[in-house]
Amino acid sequence: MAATGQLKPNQFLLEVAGMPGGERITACIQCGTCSGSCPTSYRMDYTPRKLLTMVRAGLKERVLQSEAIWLCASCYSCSVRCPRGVVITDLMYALKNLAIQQGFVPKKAVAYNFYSSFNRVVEDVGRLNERRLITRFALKTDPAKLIKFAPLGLKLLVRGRLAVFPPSLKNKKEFKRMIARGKGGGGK
Amino acid sequence: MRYSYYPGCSLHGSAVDYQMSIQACCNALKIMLDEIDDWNCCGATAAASEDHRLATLLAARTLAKCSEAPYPIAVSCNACYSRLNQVNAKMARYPEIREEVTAVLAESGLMLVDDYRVKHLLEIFCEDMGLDRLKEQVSQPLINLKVIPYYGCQMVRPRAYDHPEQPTSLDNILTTIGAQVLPFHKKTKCCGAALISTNEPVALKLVQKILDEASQRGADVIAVSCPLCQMNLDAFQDKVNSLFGTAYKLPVVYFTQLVGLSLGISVKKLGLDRGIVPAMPVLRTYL
Ligand code: SF4
Ligand code: SF4
Repeated sequence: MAATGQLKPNQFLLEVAGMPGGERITACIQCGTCSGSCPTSYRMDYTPRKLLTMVRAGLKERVLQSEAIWLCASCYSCSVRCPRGVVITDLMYALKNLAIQQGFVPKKAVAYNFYSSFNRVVEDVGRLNERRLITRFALKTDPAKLIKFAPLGLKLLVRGRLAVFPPSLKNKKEFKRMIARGKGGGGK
Repeated sequence: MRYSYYPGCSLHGSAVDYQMSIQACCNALKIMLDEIDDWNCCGATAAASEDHRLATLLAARTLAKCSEAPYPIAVSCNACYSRLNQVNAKMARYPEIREEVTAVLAESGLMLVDDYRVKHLLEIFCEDMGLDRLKEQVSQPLINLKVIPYYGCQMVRPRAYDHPEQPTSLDNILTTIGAQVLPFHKKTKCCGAALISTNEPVALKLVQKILDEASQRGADVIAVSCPLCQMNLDAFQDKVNSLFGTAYKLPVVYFTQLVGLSLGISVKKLGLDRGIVPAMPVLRTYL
């Protein structure tokens, strides 16, 4: 960027801009199209537009502790409409990655635990096992969820929509070794 | 027409009805689907949220499993489609990520080729097979069935072969099988996706808005192309009704179930008896 009189980029901004998909954050012109297109911004503590400017202002803690990043449903409405080619959805992913890696997420946080339970089940057998996901997720957050899920589980079961045989890869060992080699740090 | 086929986890679990109807339709339409050997989960939004390396690797392993087959990859789930496509694009865009992944895969005897052609079934039906051919096979047109075409987000965004906000492929398939396709503003609005598990009230509000427009337009059924959209719109309808004091009773079916019906395939083979909101009352006339 050739503009003069620009502030020196802060550490947090560099960190975010260095993540895949984060590069174009400095191109944002704060038009607000993303916030206006976002189906969940009405419930966010900071709207997508605001989050971007907060990253650029270096407000690391407030951004990485925000609820907003966990309310992103990855619908990409913002990203296809942004006039500056900022892929806000990918930035949201980058912020979630950083929040987890750097310990900004409370241990019982619901969205984080859902994703991490999902990932641990997949890492273990290579495919998603819906029953194991629900059990693990409930135990990590609120065991009463198991009871809440029961009616739906039953409806699916009687319609033959819960797998009878737990899904798994043929060569689980090789798969696990590969994941352990290639995944990033941070996941518990 | 032949493809390496990626069903994704849901189609072996809660969306077994989607899988059944895909199999039945593709058999009838002579579309050959070779299920990818030992495929793994695409990681969906979960892996990308926690660890972008894990997310890339999961999708890349499945892509690498297709390196030797000379066919495009067929995907039935919108979320899997989006993941595989995006990781394919990501590896082209970031050589250093590609290098990292290539090294890890090589240790497992897998290799990546330059580019993969990942196609959703909607594209395969419209472009590869062509709607004229579909039309020739229709024996039981679904005349007067009022259908809402609901695409969801990840079928069309961030990039796909159809328009990101005004797609038409599903509309055209449904018209071809004789159904009456209703106009629908919320074609590509979000169904809430994983928020149904992580923030139920927010997700239910999104589902409610979709059901509301669909019912105001007088829909008989909503047609979808994604197991997550199906689950949120169908299995959570009773929760929406109790939270918002509404009385929606809209069957949510896979487009392949409707196509199958128009081809004269039986309800059992199409899994049409497996929805939570029963579809048979409105579909009975077409048997
Ligand atoms: S739409 Fe793009 S340019 Fe506008 S505020 Fe959002 S990120 Fe910035
Ligand atoms: S992708 Fe996330 S931030 Fe963007 S519009 Fe959708 S929910 Fe909002």
